[in-house]
Amino acid sequence: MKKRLLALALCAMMLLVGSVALAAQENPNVGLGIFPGTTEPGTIYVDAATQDIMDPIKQSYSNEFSINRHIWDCLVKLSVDDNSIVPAAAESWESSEDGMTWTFHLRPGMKWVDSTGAVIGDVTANDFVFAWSELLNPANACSYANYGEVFKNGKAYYDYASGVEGAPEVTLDQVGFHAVDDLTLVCELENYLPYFLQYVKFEVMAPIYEPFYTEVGADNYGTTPENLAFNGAFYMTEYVLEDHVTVVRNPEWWDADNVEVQKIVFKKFTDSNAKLNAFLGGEMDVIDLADGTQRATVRAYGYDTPSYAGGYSFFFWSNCDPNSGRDISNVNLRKAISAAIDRTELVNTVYKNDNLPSPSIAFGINGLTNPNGSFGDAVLAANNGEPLYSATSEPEKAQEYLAAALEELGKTADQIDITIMVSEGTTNELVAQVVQEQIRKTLGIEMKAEILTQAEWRARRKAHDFDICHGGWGPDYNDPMTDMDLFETGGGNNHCAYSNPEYDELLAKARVELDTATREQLFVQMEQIVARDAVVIPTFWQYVDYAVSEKIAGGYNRFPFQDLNFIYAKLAD
Amino acid sequence: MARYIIKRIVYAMLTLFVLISLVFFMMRLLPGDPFVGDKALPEATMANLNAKYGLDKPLIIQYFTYMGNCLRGDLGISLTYNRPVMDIVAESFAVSADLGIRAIIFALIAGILLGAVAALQRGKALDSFSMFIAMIGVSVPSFILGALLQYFLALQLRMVFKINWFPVQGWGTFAHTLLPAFALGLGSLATVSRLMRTSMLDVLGQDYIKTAKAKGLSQRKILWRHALRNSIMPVVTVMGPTVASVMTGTFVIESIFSVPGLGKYFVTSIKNLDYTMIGGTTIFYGALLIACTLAVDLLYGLIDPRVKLEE
Repeated sequence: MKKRLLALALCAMMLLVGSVALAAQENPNVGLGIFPGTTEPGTIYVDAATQDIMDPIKQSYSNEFSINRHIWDCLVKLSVDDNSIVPAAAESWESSEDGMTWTFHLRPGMKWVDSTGAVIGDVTANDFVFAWSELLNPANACSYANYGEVFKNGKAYYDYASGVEGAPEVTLDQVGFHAVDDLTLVCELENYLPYFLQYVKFEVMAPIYEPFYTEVGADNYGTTPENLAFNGAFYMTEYVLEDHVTVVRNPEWWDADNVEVQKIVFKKFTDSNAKLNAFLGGEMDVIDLADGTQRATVRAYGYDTPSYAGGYSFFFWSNCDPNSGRDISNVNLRKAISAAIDRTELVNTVYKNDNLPSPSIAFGINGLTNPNGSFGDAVLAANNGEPLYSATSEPEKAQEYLAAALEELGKTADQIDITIMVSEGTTNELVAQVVQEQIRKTLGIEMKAEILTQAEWRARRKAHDFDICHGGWGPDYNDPMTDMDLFETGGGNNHCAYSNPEYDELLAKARVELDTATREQLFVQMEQIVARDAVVIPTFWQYVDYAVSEKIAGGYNRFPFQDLNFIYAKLAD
Repeated sequence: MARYIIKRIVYAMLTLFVLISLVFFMMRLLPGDPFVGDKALPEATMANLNAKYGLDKPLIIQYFTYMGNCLRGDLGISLTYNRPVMDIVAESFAVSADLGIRAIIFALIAGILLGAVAALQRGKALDSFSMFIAMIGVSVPSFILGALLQYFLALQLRMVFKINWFPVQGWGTFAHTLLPAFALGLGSLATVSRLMRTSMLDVLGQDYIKTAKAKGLSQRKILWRHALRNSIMPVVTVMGPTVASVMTGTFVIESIFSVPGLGKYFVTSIKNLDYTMIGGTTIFYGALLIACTLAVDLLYGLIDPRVKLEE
């Protein structure tokens, strides 16, 4: 009898432990008691590295967008569960058969609140029309003004208003966004855009309450919390430049009942050690870890640190311009370098984390035919499951390419002239050193390195005044186009100066193709061409390590396009 | 006296004028473009950005516009933060000055005390001790000191001993000011105490001290009325530039302790090529430095009537 009781008790205990584990699934550390987090009840402290501008239409950094999505509701947003498009300010929408006209139906009863949480007005369709008009207002000089150019006549209006020479007159009311009534918004597109919803979810497309904006003035909007109006899950109460932004739960928000967090402090650190110390000392709840060493420090306590993919793909931009007279413009030389690089060693030496040697370029993008998978999987499948770029060095292949290159260039290996243009910083310099060594070892080529300030590095890259330089590319929206239009002839971000009519034609086709499967294959072909011509020399897909205190039990997720979203975060106890 | 002050102020204005001109042209020589970010902007947007900040006009026109605005106290709009430079400087300087004043008070009181005690106890244990402190203060850079203080006194104390005396970082309460003020002030403390010791030793050997002793004045009166007051001059001299540099904040201490002060803007504005912010911080710092030096000159006259300001 006693034994049976004991067994029952044991079973009960196991069940209990099991259910606790299940409930805490999202944050494996909950209950460990190692890093319980900050002490203020209901409040979480989150690391957000850039918070320069709080006027939504003028923002341009991902951390600014992070804060943005907590305080404003766009028409649609990304689900915190699976990163798919879900309703936000619009409760439903439909598009015309040709996909050129979209009608959004706004949720009735939404309110604007100020920095004290007081209601100051109703959210209407005009708030979106007004915000997008301001986005296209040249006087505001918005970095993401081109997002307003997806609407019919958007670009024509912007060019005309900007005084571009020869631009025909276009008035604002001819631009393709109109409020039919308070709750109905109609958008007409300039070009077919299968991922249009990815645009209206973008944070710079947040609404602005016109009477408030006019009252404070365009230049003052966003300089202080008092100069902002909010329609999101939280409203801002504090904004100390270069230090922190505090947002408080907005009880007026349409889904406020499901918001548990009372207050979020987005804190900026300039010193990454200070940030880690703040987390270890219980003054932060969520921080990004700077490198593998920091990750090891936290893990040494027996604490689990996850990593997430923000969609950043890293590679060496290489100068493909045949008229540049540079050795690197030789395709075989680029292929030799790409084959010689040991991507695994690079990650293990420099980053010491989960960064993945790039199998292809586009990263963090959902598949088109299989939205649950990634576009990278489609590229892999088309290549018989083989990555387009090897994870480790392929010395024999590299030598073959090199021999071909040397013959074409009429040079010997020691005459090859390649300079790595490096943006200053320990990690960047280390990457250059590792690659220099790998190329020296495998190809016998001595690459030089030139270290520049970030500003000069960017200017030189834009001017195509370099051989190769290492940088990352993050997607703007969830469609392979965001990566693949990089290499379009004359494109603003085509730092490689790559030009290939065959590639441009595929892009043009992909822009008008209605069939999803065909579109996907077009992008796959582009990936293959980029690999064939070694337009860039890929290195890794970035995984960012982060640490979450035990205070946050779950309900948050980190995805590409929404690295921070704590609206539905669940707090422990 | 009045003529002297006016002359000094005119000189100060001239210095400031040269400083602004130099900074204006030198920052424009920096390679790069403030609006070339990680992602390319359409030509029309670049043009709008340049127009918004007046960067589309010829450089010399920009210079005169900038000078004119400076005269009216307008330092322009920050290219990075899209808000008036004056507002940013005013907001963050309030924090830096708060921290700086605490550091200076600490450095002055402790430094003078240590220096004086060392001089009085010359060659004894207290002398060695205070000079040891001074040596540490001079030789350990503030960023190492700051990091050590943060790690041991804030973090380890908390993690190992569960003692919550010092916050790891941040700003807002008295406790937040302790470690950064100490780290910021220790260097100045060292300078002050060493100067004080040397000067005090010098003064103690003077004839008027012997006279005072011979007159039968008490030791305390000799010290307070004669020795301390006369030996404090060199300390006052170094205080001018020290006050200016400590009050405008230091990049390192502020970034270690995450204090929202002015210090970081000196560095980040250059990194971002934020022209108006580079100009604003430099002019502000320059003006403060000049003002502090002037204040020290005037203070001489108060402390030591023998100094004639007309010369």
